[in-house]
Amino acid sequence: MKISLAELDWGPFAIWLGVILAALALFLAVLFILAYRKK
Amino acid sequence: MDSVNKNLGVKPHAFSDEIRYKNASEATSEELYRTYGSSPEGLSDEETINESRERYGRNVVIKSKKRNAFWRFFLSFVNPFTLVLLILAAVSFITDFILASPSEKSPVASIIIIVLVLISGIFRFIQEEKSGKTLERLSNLVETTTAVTRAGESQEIPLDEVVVGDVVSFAVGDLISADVRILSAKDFFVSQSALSGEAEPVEKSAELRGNPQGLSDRSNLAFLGSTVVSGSAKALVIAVGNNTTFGQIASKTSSTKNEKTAFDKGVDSVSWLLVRFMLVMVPAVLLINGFTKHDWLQAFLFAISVAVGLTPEMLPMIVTSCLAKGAITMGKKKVIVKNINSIQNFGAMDLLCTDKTGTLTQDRVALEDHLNVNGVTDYRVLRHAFLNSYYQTGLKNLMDQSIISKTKELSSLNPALANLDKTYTKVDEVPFDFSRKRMSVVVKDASGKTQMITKGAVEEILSISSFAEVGDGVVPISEDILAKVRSMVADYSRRGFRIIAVAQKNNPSAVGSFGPQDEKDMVLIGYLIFFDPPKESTGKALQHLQRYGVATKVLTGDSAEVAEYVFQLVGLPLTGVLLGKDVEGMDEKSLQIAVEKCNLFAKLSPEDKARVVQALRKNGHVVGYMGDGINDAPALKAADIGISVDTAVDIAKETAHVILLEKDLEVLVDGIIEGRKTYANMIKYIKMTASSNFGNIFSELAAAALLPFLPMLPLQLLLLNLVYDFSCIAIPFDNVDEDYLQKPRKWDASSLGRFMLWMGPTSSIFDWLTYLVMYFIICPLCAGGHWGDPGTDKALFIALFQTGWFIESMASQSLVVHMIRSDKIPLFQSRSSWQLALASFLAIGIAIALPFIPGENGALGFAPLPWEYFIYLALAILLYMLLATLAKNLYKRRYGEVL
Repeated sequence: MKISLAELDWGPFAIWLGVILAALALFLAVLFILAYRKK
Repeated sequence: MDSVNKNLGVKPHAFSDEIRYKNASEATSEELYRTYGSSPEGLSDEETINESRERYGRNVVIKSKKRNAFWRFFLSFVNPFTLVLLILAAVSFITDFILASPSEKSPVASIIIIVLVLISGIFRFIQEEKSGKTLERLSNLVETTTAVTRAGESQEIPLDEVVVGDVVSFAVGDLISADVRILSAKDFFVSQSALSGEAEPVEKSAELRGNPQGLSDRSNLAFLGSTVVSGSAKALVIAVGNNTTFGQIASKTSSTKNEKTAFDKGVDSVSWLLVRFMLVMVPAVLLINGFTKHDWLQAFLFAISVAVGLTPEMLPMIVTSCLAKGAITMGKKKVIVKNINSIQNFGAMDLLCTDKTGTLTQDRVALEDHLNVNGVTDYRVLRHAFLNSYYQTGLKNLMDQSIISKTKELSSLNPALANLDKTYTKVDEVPFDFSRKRMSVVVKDASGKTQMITKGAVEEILSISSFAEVGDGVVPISEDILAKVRSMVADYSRRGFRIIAVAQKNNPSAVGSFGPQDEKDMVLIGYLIFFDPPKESTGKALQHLQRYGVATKVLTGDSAEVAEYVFQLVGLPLTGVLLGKDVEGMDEKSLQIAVEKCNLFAKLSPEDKARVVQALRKNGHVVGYMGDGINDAPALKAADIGISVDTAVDIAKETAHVILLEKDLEVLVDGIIEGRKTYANMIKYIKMTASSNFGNIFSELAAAALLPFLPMLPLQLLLLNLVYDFSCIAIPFDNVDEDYLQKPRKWDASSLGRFMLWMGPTSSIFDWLTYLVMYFIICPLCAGGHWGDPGTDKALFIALFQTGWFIESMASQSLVVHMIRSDKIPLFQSRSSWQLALASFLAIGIAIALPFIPGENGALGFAPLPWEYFIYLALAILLYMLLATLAKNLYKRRYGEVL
């Protein structure tokens, strides 16, 4: 490794991870609503 | 055979051929025999036959010249995938070799791309050749024969062995095996619809009648591709194979257009859906990458690689492979599929309509008794029946065969039955047809007395009989006699016996003027009682069909009583009966309602059978029709899937889509299961491809908008596509859950769109996660800093990033099939076939191994990844499988099932 883990940009990583997890949560929420909504 | 020309009379032949046909039509039989080196006894020996074959050719019609192997090989390279790879190779050659500085010149990338082109093309070629050869071999198992007289002996030979000069005999249901000049004919009607498009049968005779305009109007010529509707004839072959009228037209027509089935249209709609996505997606990717990265050449190459990735170029090949695999498996189970697209219909079939005789019942109709009008066994009745069956020249059906063998068997006990063929000579006949439902033969005894003997359906014989032989005398048929006859017939029918009546009259019309008009004022002499026992396997097979969601309806020309008895014996519950006369009296709407309620249709004419099948299809059923007789041909044609047997009459075999080598319903169940398996594997590929391509759209759009470089090189994207496509070759060999096979599977395109929207984003989420991990963790760790840092090795950063996404993308694409291939939990409840598992692991293995190949870095642009990446990859794959399984279960909850 040329740099250590501590030197990584964790801040932007966390923000983007949050965005992806939010997208995932939204996607799953839509699937759950569609699956369990009475037709 | 397909209709290849609507106007036969125009110019099917060269002028010289037309003259030859005219000469043949106008010549006397002696002149004909002389011209073609034949005689009334047919061709004399093997040498003459071979000579004729050498001179006039073989009786094989080659519809369009098959392209040679080299051309076929070339064509397997003509597809968008190859085109884009070649563009990439050219660009790479220019930038890496021609324009590069002398120290950096390297043609390796171009060579690798050319190798990819060769691999994909050769593979496609091998796969298509294999499928084609298999289907050819299977179709050769079904052989149509024709009756010829050679050296005075009558024999059945395969159609392709017929040569010019052969004397051929035709009966009802036969195919005209070559172009022929009629030598003798009796009420000989043929359908020339395959040639002229005209549905009405035309009469053919030995004499040239009227004033013919075109060749087809010549009454004494009959043409290859026509079928015999009624009557019988002897004829001399004057042209074979591609020299026939049919052959001339067929060889000039490059290909006859096959009508697209619902399934073909479904596959096309999938392709178009993906192409539409591509058309929106590609310009967007091009513009975003071009404006953000300022390298328009790379942006363009990436965009077209994305386009290739989204092009379902393997779809036709996978579909053909699945169908060919289905056809091979069915072939092993003695089900020969004539058109591979029918396999899908086999799986979709929810209703089987079947003829009774020979399918539900055994193929041996036994003559149980021969009774006079009083109901007493009488050898005179048998003698008359024998003369009728023995001397009629049409198709000898099971009842005729049974009458002949029974008479011969009893002739040792009863001298009146001995040597009948020597005591009587045949004078004339009126062949069977389905409107009269009877046949007549005129014979002459030693004293010169002529008599007409007619046999047929009881009601039909009663309608032409004015008298009955009761005791020793002939009396007019009274109401009492009629009532007695009908009561006896009903009694036997209820007990499952089939009955036909026999009538006769002395000295009918003079020889030559004898015809159906003579069938009147006859004397009813008695009945023949047949028993047609059901097959032992029928009951079980019907239960199996029921279990697999296929209901059975019986369509028979027999009486309802006889069929009802068979229903009882095989344990089929009767829901309702509809008779031919009811069917005829109904309009389409009422028939559509009535056919749903009934499962026994009796006393049907061939046209009634076809109408019932059509009505059921209009009600939304996928209808299979199984039959082997001439009377089944219209229904076989009307059905979604026509099923016949190897022993069926030519016309039935020609019309059917599927031929069973064993006349057994159980074999049919195997075929249905195989059809559904084939469908399951095809839909698996289609859904998987559609959803992963849809997912890739999100991934690539996000990358284009947010990343400062391309997430994958164009070449890498194509390589990913190639390796993934290879892994899909195993899909036709995958297992299918038993639960999935329980229901008919009808093509339903509506489920594809929603499946794509539901499953596609799951892979995008993991692609984004991979971007994140690569961009912020793995690449900085290995390349010496973040993307914007001054000391960072940017080339390595990009190579690592692209390699990371390449491997993750391959893993998620290859594994998604294991998630969606079944409604159940993968590995634990439902396992894929070893072929599919191996293909998936190989694809992932290749993706992981590629970056570690020494020296490839320059060519493919990969970089070896650190172990930390593989920890992430394992975790990501696990989470991806969990998410995909969750999404699948939610989908199942909403829509009932996954595939």
